[in-house]
Amino acid sequence: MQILVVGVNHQTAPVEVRERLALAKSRLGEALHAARSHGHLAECVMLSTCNRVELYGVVPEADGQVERLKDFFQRYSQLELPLLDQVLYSFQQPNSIRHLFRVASGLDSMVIGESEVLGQVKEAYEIARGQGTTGKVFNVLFQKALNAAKEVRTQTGINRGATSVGSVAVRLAQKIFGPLQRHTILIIGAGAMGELTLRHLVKCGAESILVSNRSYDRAVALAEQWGGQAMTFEQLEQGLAQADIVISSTGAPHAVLSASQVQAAMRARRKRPLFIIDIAVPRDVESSAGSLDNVYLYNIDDLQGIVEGHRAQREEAAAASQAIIDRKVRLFMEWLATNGTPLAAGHARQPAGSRPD
Amino acid sequence: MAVNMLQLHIALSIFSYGAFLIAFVSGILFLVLERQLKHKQLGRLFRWLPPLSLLDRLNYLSITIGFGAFSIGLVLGTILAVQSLGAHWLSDGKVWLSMVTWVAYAVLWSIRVSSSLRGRKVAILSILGFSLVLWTLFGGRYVLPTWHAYL
Repeated sequence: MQILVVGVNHQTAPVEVRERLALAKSRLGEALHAARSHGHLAECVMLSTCNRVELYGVVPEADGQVERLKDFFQRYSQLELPLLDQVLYSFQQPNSIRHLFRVASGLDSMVIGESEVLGQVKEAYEIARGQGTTGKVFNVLFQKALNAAKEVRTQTGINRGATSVGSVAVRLAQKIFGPLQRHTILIIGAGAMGELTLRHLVKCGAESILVSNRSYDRAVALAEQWGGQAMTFEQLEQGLAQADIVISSTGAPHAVLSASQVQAAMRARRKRPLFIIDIAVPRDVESSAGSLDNVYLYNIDDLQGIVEGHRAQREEAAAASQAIIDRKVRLFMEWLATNGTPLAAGHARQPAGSRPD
Repeated sequence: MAVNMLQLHIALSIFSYGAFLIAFVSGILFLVLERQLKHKQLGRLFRWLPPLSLLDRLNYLSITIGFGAFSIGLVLGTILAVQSLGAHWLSDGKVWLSMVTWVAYAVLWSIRVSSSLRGRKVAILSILGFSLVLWTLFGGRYVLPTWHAYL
């Protein structure tokens, strides 16, 4: 008996290929049954996310299996076999088990430690179980995978630390102001990253938005989009006195806010803290403004540095996770040896002491 | 339940010291977090520290409540001092130091309330203020003669 996995992920196949293989939830049922009959699988689970499309199967033996499953992929995706040969990977146990545990823990994701995949694995398993394509082995294996993922998450720092400039900006804003509901954001300019950061802040509760732009029409358009208030460029200092969080991403070749303007604004706002996110290159805000009392000025390098630091932490945590995963794989293999074979599955009762973990 | 003036004085004084301690701790944590944010060196403590605004608010509330309780306690204490020491009530070291402490916290509180200074400066003053409290509690009797010898 073998546990197999065959599939593609974001590292082996570009999105144009992955999208041909991807399966909508509504089609998973028929795909599972087709895979099971075509591949002569005893049990079958399919996982289809934006990062990967994978087929997990239990087979009596591995011979010729991978070819049959490759054929199955070819049939419904209509991709050519040579291409599939390039992008598909396959694992046999124990590596197939290790792979599943790693995927569920977020170690195989584009953003290491992301937590969406855990829910996706759970859902894929539940759909398969609902379709009747899981059995004794997968019912235990996928449960173990979810447990392993939970242990990795709680014991290592794998899912901690914001991993994008926008989410770092939000965390910083929350560290300075607490809940963002009663705080005003001023967005200057219309850079893409600026808008992305604004979106993150709005998602976390910010409601009051001021928009300023060289072109007033543009400001009005953006203000409408975000349910905010437009300001002319001349009103910038006024906006600075009102807002607590400033996002600046204009395309200007020089600074649009001088340190003395910021200082004047601080006086006007009675030194209430001011968080300035300057993601423009060249920078929009004179850097000496950052040394003023109660002004927190972060430029793109500062934010990127924090993102990098978090990424490095996650990679360290990934290394620590390996030990946990290895242990879990070993335990499952032991369980498999006493319970997973067709012979053992025929017994009415499990021998004492053979429960996994 | 009859609470006598001495008991009330003691209770209010201890309560105010507790409040000043909270002002002290929140002041320190504020300075730590503020420094990390300013210097962009987000250390291990960063994750656990509550937001700057919360520390600021806690500092403000604890100073205000502490100052209120301390003032009432001091008034009661003065009455008690006059009752037991007569004309020389101000010569008692602890009474004298307590007056100084009261003035210090009066200054701190008025600065806080007028909000012309925010954050860092008030945090520093909270720390200094509490040092004065500690001095009042423990150091006073070694320097000046006092009737509060039980402390």
